[in-house]
Amino acid sequence: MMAADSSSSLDNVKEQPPKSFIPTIKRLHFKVVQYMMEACIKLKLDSTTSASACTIYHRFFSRCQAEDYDPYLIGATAIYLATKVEEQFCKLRDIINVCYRILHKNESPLEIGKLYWDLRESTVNCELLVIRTLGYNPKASDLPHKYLVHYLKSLQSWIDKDTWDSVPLCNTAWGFLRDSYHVDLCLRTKPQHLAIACIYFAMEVYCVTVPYNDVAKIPWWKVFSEDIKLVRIEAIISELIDMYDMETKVKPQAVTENSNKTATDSLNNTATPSK
Amino acid sequence: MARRGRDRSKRYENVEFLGEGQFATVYKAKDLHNGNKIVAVKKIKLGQRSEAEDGINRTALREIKLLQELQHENIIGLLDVFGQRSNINLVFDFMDTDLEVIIKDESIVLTPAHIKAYMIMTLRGLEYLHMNWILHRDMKPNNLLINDEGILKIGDFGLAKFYGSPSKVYTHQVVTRWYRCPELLFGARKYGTGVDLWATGCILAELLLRLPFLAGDSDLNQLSIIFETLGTPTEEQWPCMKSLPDFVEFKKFPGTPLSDIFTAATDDLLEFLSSMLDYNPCKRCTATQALKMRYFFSKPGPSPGFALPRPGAPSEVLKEEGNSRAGRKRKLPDESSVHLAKKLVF
Repeated sequence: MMAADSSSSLDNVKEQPPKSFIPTIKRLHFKVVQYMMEACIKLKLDSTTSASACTIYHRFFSRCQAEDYDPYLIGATAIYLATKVEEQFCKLRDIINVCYRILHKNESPLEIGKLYWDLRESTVNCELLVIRTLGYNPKASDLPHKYLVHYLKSLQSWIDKDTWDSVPLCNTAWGFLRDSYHVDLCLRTKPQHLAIACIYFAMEVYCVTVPYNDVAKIPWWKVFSEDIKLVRIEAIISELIDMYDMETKVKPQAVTENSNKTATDSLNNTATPSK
Repeated sequence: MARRGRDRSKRYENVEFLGEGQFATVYKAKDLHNGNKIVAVKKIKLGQRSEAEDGINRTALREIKLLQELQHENIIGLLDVFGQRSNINLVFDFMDTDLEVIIKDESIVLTPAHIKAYMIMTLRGLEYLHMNWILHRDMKPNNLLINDEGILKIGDFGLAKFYGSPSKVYTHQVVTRWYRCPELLFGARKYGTGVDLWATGCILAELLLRLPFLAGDSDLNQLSIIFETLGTPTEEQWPCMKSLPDFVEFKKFPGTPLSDIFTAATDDLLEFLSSMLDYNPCKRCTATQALKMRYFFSKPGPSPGFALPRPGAPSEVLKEEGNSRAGRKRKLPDESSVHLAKKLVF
């Protein structure tokens, strides 16, 4: 009942994107996560907080049907809940303003008024719904980030310095990890495994190898996580590749210079029906 | 989901109202699905408009998040969480009383063996928390809960937080003032397990004195009371103290030796106490080190749970509870009840 309340009150506000733009559930979630990531960046939230928000979002929709709720509201709520879970304080008002602005690029910023208070109430109600749906366990497992940093740190002293310094391995691996939240990999993968796969992928990209790994009794990834197999790493990487592939398809006319940014912009314009 | 919640609210049958705090009310309840086991149900208030605006109460969320991961004999057990309309309810182990009540109950005699038992249980709980990278940040007698078997459990995780991330800065506005360590009073934004150990030292002193050991009435006054009692720390005792954000120079007090304050205390106890009240947070003992100190291996041995004191006069406690105005109105229907109303501070 709660759910009905919150989504209906929001229906008046944020209309659903036109049907033609959501051919599959996966694409819808991809777009919502893009919007969430943009909001997190604009709110200057840590990577871990935005990862936590995305995890909450994916966990919610692993239990609920996307048609029953406004995913953009769930996304904003997930961000708010994540700031509490990760103890990174952020005002609800800022979240609402930023999210509204992303979804309504061509309109004037949100004023304090009925619309604002309605959105705020929806988010607060929705927060309760989300935490209930997650069985009151908003932090189901560790985030992979700390494993990633720890593994990279170990690899750094393993790989020779010139090779290490010649390529942005850490940034790329971190970027893969961040992007992985566009799909629900985090729900199906142990954090350690996801971290290893991101590093493995980054090493492939730059043709970096761990010295003597081919003759070593235990490959490097098994040193970090005993229960991971190469096939699993490859499966995760192929999901990541599919995700990047989807990005090019989800984005309608992605144009010019800073491709990433403009793409997101144009996405959100299309996601918001013109008045 | 909602249906499951409704079922669960039927699972717990309220027995009596226990107390009310700023963010929650607590009921004693029977768990009908578990042989009528007595539990405490903490109902987080979300109803009022002011709280509804910010959604789920942060302190409640902290308790939910942290306690779900913890399981230890000396940590309050979070047994269940369920929703009911727009409320969140946390189901805890039922605890009969707390250490503050015991300390204040003048009919109770605390022997060295009792005190040792309380200290062991506190430090074991604390050691477990710290091993799991959690700071409690609100250690005080009122938060050390005691059940009918005499087992002490650390409760109230409303201020608790993960620590260990080198980049994170924390607020220094934690820990009830009387138990707050000097580095927090000087505004340290980076601190560690030492904050909980200092507080434990103050609790030990309070068990011995039966009065709060360092009872300041403002943050500055707290510092001067600490320094008057224990002596103003020197640069040698506490290097880097001057680099703390809110450092102020204090008059040089010589302090009183602990053996003159706690005249009946044995050497091993004083050694234990002074290592928890070390000014230098880096040198202050950890919970693990504390448990290995001479004090815990010498006689008398700690009292077993059943031999620990129980508070006698419930009326005493109710009087004290009378301060909370809202609590007053909804006071227990039967005032003669043996169970104590515990004011929730969080």
